[in-house]
Amino acid sequence: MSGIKKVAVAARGEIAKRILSTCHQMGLDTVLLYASGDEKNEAFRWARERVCIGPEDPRKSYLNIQANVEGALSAGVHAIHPGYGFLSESADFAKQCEKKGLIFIGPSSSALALFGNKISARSICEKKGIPVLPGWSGSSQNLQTYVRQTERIGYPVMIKAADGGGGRGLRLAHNEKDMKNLIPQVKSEIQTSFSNQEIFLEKYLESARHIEIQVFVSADGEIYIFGDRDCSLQRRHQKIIEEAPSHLPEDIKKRMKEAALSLLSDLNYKGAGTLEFLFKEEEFFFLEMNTRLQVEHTVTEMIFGVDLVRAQILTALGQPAFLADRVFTPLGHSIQCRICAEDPFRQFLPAGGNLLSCLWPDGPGKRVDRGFGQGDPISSLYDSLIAKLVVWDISRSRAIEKMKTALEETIIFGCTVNIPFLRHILCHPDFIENRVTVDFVEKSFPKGIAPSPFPFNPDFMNRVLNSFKPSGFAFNPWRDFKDKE
Amino acid sequence: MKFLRIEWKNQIYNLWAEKDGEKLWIHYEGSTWKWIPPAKVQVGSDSSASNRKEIISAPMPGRIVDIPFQKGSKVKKGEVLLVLSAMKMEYTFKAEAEGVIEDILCQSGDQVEADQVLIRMKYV
Repeated sequence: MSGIKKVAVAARGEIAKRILSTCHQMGLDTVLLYASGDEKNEAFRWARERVCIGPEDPRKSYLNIQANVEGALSAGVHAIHPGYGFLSESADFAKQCEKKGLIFIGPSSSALALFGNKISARSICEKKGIPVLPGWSGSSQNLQTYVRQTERIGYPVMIKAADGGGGRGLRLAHNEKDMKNLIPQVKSEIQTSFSNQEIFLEKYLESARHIEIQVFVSADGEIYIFGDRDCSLQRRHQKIIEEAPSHLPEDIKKRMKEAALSLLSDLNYKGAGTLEFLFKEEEFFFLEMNTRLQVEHTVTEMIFGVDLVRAQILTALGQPAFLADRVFTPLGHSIQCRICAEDPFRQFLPAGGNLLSCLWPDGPGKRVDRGFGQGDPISSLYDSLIAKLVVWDISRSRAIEKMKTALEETIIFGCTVNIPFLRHILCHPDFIENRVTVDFVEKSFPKGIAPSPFPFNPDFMNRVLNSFKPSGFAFNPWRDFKDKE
Repeated sequence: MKFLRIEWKNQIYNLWAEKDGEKLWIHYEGSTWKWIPPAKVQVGSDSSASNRKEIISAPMPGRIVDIPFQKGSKVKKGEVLLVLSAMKMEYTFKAEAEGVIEDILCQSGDQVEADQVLIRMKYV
């Protein structure tokens, strides 16, 4: 392939492995940019080459622009794929790549800067007549300023980091007391995660649905809309289960798609992007535009039969992203469950550890995007996502049944995971009847779930234990050999 | 991981199991349990008579973000004793009742291990 022969992957976990696979499929060589201590995972094993870019602490490795650029240059790559999270939406990183002659697989640094700042993204939408929620932005050191502005907007209010993302730097305030507690908390959280310390306030829409539109702009500027996704099932603003398509009325979907087209029409945007909206009572509001691949891009891939990473790479090369005669029509329904190392019986505390052994589901219409396997550590320094279970079937109800089976067939020993919780959700009438809003988990499972009672008594368990003891009657060639001598 | 078929009281149980030191991981009918032999279950601070945890230990490895009080400080119920950051999220530990901070065994910025004791409380 002309232009790109070797791609560096500046990501970790499941997404790094997923990108590597597509690169290899396209005949490209790969280099994984990894932090020391992060050598036991699928991405590390499958990359063709590996370059260590710094210590475990992500601020010194995965978030370090210079280390990533230098690592990529030392390996002689032509392009960098930033995955999601870390530097994927960093305009500075894209700019440094551009300066050093590396192709950043994603939008231009100016597009990243424009949308990376949620305040400027909002104002473009306002100009283009795309509905946004009432809000205020600023970077005051004075707590009272935030409180005054919030009173103008009206509680409840969402406190957001201008450069926030992935549920971080995000807090909900119901009253003045909350504001006084949460503003410093958000400030402390964004200090470690983002370079921009600006905060903005946005009216919080209670019991809304989180709907997003997947867009892709090819190298020649054609805008493709790959339908919508419903990502309302969240806990503490982290998505847990995502699906495509959503069940919103067709006219609403049409208006959202029109909003997406109008937003991107004259921006010279390239590659994949997602517009996030809140939907409630026939109305929708723009939340933010994510200028990268999303964790849940998989469900869109399943119903449209596309590989968005492949499209991203082709676009970075200036080549057509899709076959010229392709008409994109979604088919069936897809659901994704995020398998995370957290304990649903102990209020979702992160439960790092080592994967002692695992068994993953397979079969038609099942996809497992995973970053870790047997024997791998799940470090508490990074996020808790171990794998994504994705299913496709012809209807939503069939997809739910398939997901339930897939979760039953997933066995993870050594590390407590959220699978029991996912199974509870899949059986909940609100989920089955499609009534889930973003506050569903907090309302329906305020304390997580109770563990199911252990089904076996100690005598039975001793039998199980005994099956792990080496049998005294086993044939031992060395002993027998010795006896004969 | 082993697949086991165990006959028990005229019934056959199909399960997956794996030994993890003294513990056993069991997967049966879609659910997973970590089983600890009864003799090894420790009676710890969790089940103390008052049912209040007087020892605050790290539930997972992480970094100490904030300890607002000093050793010997008097605290009211609900006041924040410690903020721990792990997996990019912050976890807040609050006083379960009015009491005195008997000892602080870590500092802001420390990297701590799971089960490491962080604060000792004496509740009124």
